Amino acid sequence: MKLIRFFLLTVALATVASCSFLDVVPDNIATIDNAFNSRNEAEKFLFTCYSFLPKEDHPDASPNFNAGDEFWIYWPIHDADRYTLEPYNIARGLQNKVTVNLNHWEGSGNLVPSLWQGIRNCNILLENVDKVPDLDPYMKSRWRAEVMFLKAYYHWYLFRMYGPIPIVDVNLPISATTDEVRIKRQPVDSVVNYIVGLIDGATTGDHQDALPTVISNEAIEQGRITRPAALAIKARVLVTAASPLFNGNPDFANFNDKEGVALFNTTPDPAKWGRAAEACRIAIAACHDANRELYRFDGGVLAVDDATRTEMSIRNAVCEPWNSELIWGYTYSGAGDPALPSKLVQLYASPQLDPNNISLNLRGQMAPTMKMAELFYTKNGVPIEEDKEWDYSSRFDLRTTTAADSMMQNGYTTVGLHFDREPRFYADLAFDGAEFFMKNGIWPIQNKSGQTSGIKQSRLYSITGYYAKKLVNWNLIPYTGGFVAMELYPWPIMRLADLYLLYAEALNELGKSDEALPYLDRIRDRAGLPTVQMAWSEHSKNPDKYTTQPGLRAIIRQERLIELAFEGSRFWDLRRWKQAVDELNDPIYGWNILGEDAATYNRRVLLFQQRFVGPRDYLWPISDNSLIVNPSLVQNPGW
Amino acid sequence: MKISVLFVVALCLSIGSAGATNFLHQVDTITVEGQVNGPDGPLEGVSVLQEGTAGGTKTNDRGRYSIRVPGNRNLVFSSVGYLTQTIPVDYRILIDVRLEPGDQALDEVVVVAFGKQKKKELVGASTSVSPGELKVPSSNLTTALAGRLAGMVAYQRSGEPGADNAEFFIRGVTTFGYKKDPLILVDNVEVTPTDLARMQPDDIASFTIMKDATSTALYGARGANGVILITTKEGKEGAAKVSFRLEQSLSSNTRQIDLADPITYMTLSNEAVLTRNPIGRLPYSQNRIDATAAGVNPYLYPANDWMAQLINKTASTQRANLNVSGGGKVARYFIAGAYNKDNGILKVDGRNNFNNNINLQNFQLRSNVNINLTSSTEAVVRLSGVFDEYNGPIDGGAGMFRKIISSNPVQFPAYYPSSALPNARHILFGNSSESPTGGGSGSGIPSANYINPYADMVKGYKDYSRSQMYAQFELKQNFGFLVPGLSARMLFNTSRYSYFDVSRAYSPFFYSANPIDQSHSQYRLSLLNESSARDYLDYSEGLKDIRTITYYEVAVDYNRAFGDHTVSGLLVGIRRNQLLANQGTLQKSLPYRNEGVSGRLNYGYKSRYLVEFNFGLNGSERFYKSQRYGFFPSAGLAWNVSSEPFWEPLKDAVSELKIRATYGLVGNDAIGDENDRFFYLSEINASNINRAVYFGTLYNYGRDGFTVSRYANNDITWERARKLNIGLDIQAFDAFTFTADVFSERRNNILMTRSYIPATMGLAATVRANVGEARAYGVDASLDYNKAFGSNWWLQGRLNFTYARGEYLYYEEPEYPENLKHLSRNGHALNQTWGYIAERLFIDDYDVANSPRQNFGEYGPGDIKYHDVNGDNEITTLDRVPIGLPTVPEIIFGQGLSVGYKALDFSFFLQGSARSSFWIDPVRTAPFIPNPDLGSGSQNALLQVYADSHWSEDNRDSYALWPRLSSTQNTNNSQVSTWFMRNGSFLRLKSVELGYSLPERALSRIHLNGARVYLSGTNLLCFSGFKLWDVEMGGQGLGYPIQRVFNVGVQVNL
Repeated sequence: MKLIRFFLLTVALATVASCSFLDVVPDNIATIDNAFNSRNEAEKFLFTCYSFLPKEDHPDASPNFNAGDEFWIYWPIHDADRYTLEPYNIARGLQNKVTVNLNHWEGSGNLVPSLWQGIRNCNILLENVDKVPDLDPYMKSRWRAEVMFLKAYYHWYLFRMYGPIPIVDVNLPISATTDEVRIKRQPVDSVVNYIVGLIDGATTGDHQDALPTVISNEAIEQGRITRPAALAIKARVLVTAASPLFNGNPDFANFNDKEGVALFNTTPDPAKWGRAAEACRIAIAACHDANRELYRFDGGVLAVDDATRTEMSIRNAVCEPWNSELIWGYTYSGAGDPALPSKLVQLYASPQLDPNNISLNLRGQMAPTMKMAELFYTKNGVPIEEDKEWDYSSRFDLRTTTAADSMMQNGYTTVGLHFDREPRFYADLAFDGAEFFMKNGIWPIQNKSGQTSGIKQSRLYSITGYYAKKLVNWNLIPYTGGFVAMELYPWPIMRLADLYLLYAEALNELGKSDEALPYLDRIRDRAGLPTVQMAWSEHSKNPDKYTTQPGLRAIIRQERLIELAFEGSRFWDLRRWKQAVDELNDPIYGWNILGEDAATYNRRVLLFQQRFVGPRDYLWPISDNSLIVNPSLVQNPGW
Repeated sequence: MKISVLFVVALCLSIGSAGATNFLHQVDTITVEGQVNGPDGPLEGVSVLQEGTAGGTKTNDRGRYSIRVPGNRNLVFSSVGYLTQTIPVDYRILIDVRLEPGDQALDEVVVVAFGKQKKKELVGASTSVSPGELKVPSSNLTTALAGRLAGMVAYQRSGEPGADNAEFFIRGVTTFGYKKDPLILVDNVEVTPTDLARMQPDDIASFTIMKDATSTALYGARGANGVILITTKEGKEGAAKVSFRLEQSLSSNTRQIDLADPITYMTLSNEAVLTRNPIGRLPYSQNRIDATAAGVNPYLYPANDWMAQLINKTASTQRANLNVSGGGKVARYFIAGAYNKDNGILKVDGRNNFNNNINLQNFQLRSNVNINLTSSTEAVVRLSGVFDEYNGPIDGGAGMFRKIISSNPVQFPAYYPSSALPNARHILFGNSSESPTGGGSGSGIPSANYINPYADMVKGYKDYSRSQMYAQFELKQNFGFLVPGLSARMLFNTSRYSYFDVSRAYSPFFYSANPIDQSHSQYRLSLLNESSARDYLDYSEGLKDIRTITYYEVAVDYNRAFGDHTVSGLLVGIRRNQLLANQGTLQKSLPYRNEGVSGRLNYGYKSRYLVEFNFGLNGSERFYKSQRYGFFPSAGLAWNVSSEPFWEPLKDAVSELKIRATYGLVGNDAIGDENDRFFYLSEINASNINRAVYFGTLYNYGRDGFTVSRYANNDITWERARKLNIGLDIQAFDAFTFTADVFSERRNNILMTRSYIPATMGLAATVRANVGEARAYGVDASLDYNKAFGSNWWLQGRLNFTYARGEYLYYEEPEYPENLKHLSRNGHALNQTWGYIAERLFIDDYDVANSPRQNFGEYGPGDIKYHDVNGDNEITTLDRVPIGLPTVPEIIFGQGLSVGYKALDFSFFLQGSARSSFWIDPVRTAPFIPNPDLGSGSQNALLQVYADSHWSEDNRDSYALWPRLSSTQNTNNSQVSTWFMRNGSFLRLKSVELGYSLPERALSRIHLNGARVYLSGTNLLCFSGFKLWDVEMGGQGLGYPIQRVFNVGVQVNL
């Protein structure tokens, strides 16, 4: 009976079930509301907004380097030698709408995030930043301005890739209906106006002084948006919008959305150049106010000759951290390796330097194409095919250096192409016979099969025989065991020379060539070249070229391609000038790197025949999947 | 006395041998004789056996029998169509018996949810299998399931000890949610498939699968995928009965993958480069190929057959099992122990003193004790423990097989003879500084760039230890003295699971050889990895998994007959709490809980008309308050047609005919995936390094960012399944039992990702809702035949058939326009594959240029040409159509036949599977490219079939098995397409067994009650159109092969 009583008691206890048995979740579980409870957490959210910045220094995550015709790479690439194949696929004509390469629309992994997610985060911060209790008003204002800029930048980046894009000014709720989420693409001009409006909002009116002119707390804030940076990006947006791709492009005449709204304006509007020029002028003024000026190398304690000084002025305009020319530097490439700016690109670009310290980390796999080697001017500052004194037809003939060829190894046999070129040629490129000036010495580059940087040395090699010396900071040192010491530099998203060239381009389009020339000449002066006027009048077969608008346009464009070579500008410039269809249908050439002597090595080898289909390839495809999910979207023409 | 015998046997077991032992033991064995009659006179062929043994006799044509048994045992008299009787011998020498007609099968008591019912009164659909049928020579019970039970779909993909669980589904796959497999309960407590795999058939009293709504509704939100219910044996009053079984098996691969010889490998490796890139660098020079072919020097020009160098032909397995049961008036006991030792098929290098082969030892202990506390109160204590001790290669068995078929055969030997470097105190493993994918050969920096599978196999070993313990206490109280027919019980169970693994390995010294003379007879070794090689072991800790589960159950039972009316009812409440350690996130660390109340009500009229009503009211902690509890009712009807008076004339032919029908609702709360907790809460990662940014002059002021990994949704709840079942049970002609069920199910509320959210929403996590719907239908049937012929012959046969098909009814997807309807899943089978229709291989450049553009990467002549389904002149994802059959077979069948003659018995079992497709993996079988699971250093081997049939410029075979060779992965060819699709159907001779029961006279002399020796084998033959590997492995054919086992065993009873 005792047992029965026990039994009944147990059953009774069990049936009086406490209702909270299933309430297992304690209070204070982290949810999104926690992000704005304190300044500290909110700062994390601000950084989150920044974290979607495309990794512009990442050779595998950005089209900047390997998706066009500036660089070529050995093929097939070993899995261990790249993060993704996406930019290489684009260069090889494999872009497609199934698995879109470098898909910033839908995002692909952490390397190529969806910029729409970035925009959503920006909107979340803008909606909530006022809730942060312990944030000073001026900080709130600055954060808001920064995030407005980032929101503009993400729209801009998508615009540059996809052309007319939808605008996401406010976030849709999770519970939005099917019809609400099916947003449409907006016409090019509306998108540009929206982006410019956002940047104006971040730099004028309430936010006139919200962004700093210069970063005062450099140790912890360098790399964040400044007012000059915002204005310079606005200038780039407007120059792009005025350029032939987006300004009255007849190729996109019948590109309408599903309701028949034309997405491209097919009538060129010269006023767009005026707006662009004005934005450039204001941006340049803001940069000058912030003490931005073209960088000049000061050897410091190191005694260097003039030629080297010029070379280092050119190289360190990019590679010297936080130099006087930098307007906006990108400081972080994402989690893991390469967490730090410019690290990967330096390793991808650098050849083996020290025969006693060969390092697999020095990959040298990003190989400038022969077209890039031919792009640079002669020492007279004019294109090689225009120079009266330069022997263009013998450029592939062998020739041996003398003491006069101070930028190359003495008594070394190489080709005519490498002789008597402008300083930027020797500063930007290394090749068989070149010298690699570094802080710890001058390294002779010998690239024939079996030589120090040649193909036999490592599974990683330059397929063309060229190396992008420009991207390698002069403090890089390989040590035994493969370790490489390096100085990292913030990746220049915008530097003053770029802005000058944008301004010159806009001025010339407005017919103000006399105002444009001084900006070109400043850049040429730093590169150790005579002015445009002098160079063309004295050395060119076409001495009046600069006096006509089309002639000067060609000069400005080539100057831009040379000055900003290997910095991720050419890929986009060729597109906005609508020149990609010419340039990117050329063959890719390199030297016969399997050659073991000068005669066999210095043979031009066809590496690839590129294919660029216009107008299709001017814009990224939107994936089939996105189009199916959102029937309001239309595909870009040709895809 | 018994105890001493037990002790001796245990001792034998512990020293691993069961040799002849002298038993000092004395029970009088007597000869019992008698006559067995039925209502119409003597009965022939009645089985007479000593309870608990297999040995026995049959009555002759005059109904007479004679049997020798110990005088204190029970005799069991059974015959089809009659009620079985068990009679104590009590030292009588004459026992006459009268058997009453009755349906033995339908009169059986079967296990149902939270209780037992007479089979005759059963309304729901369930299938039981005799535990004896699950006795196969394997340490894994799940491998025996396929084809044994009507309604179960099962298949086995791997033969690796410890990782060879079959996958199984009840009535196929009926959802596209997360959990698709059934709920498994052992003595009412939920267990994992691995726990099921370790169950010993000898310990199982009943094994039942429950298939329809009324049999599973009591499990409410957890029963929708069907339930496997197992009860373990209990002791019976009487003297101790000891049963001992010992098995020794030899296993080998059912089928070995055929690889091309090293010379072909080299030649075609060159072809792979040249055919794609005429200026490409050849991996192997002609000199080298010639030297290898000539066998100049195997260390300079190695040619490895990794399969032969790493894999033994056979492996051995030992199993032992002992159980003792018995009891008195107060207490009864069943205690059992088991020991299994499975060895892998890998070779061991004698130069290491550790074992790198798989050695999985499994120990089990089970103790079930029933105690009668009072005349109406019974307490049951069940304790069991299952312990795995594993030792094996670092990479695991499947990992080793993967390395074998992904390692370069000619770049280096497995190892150099130690005479090459007499001073070295380690094994001189081979490797190479060359790059596995060509490019520069690394004369500059020595490095070991390849996977040397031999070195990886012998360099170390991994241990794991897995323990699962259950402690269960049950109290049953009969309240018949208060209310007749009323009883109650409560059960408390706690289980503890723990797992950890540890790896120990040295970092091998890798050498490459360089010739030092012209004739290449001498070579010099150079060390490739000086900085990383170690000749001492290093250690790394692996996974540690600890979990605890407590379970509590209270039930009240009522069971009473009033004249022609029988009424029974059940009310049960349960609570389950599970805690997991090392979960990684706060939300996953919180307890997993369920609670519920379930009930059952049965009414029967004259056992002729039966009605059943069930319900489950279940709650789960994962959902928002308003969604937490779900109500799952079900009802069923059954009609015993054969009990109707009008059936009398037919009774002789068809003794039983029953029609059943049930309908009801069951749920499935395991939705989303295992990481999903608390759908009603948003989840954020507040320190996501992938959203980190750093600023500052030195880029060192940084913050990790926020990401949302789940958006809150209060509405999410479980899947609901509406199940309809109509069944038929027939017994006919004294020998046939036939059961067939047709079923139809509609599953809704399946959690799925919303399809209409475009990327422009910018959401970091998917939005989900309970919007998916699926339906399933099918039939399962079994036919049993059981007959004795004369007193010497008996025959048993069984045929099982299961057809189950699940289909998408509503899969939320974008609104496909008319020309893209083929992309829609709705109406197609769950587990249907979408892919491209491969037309043929491209013939030449002209063919390529005049075909639709294919958007999957570079392609040319010899690559696969796909069909442009939507006619847009491009091959894109929009051209994917449903191809082939589902990946889970829709038809499973089994056929067994056993025949006995006197002391000999023979049985075999055929198992088949049909209506499934699988795909040869075009990436992992692609020759010369790195295996994506292993990364750089691996290089896929060349399958002989690909060497024999591939497109080449000389032989432009547009229908060759393999497309144009390539030294890199060709993404055009690796799309899912009909090119690599194969039929998964097969018929296999699953098992064969030949047994001999030792004559009683011989046995009694050594005081045994029964002994049987047997030879058995599994997976002896397989019939299939697919020859590359064992077809049952499907797309995972490069893994650890399914094993063919030859086994010898002995079963002893005393």
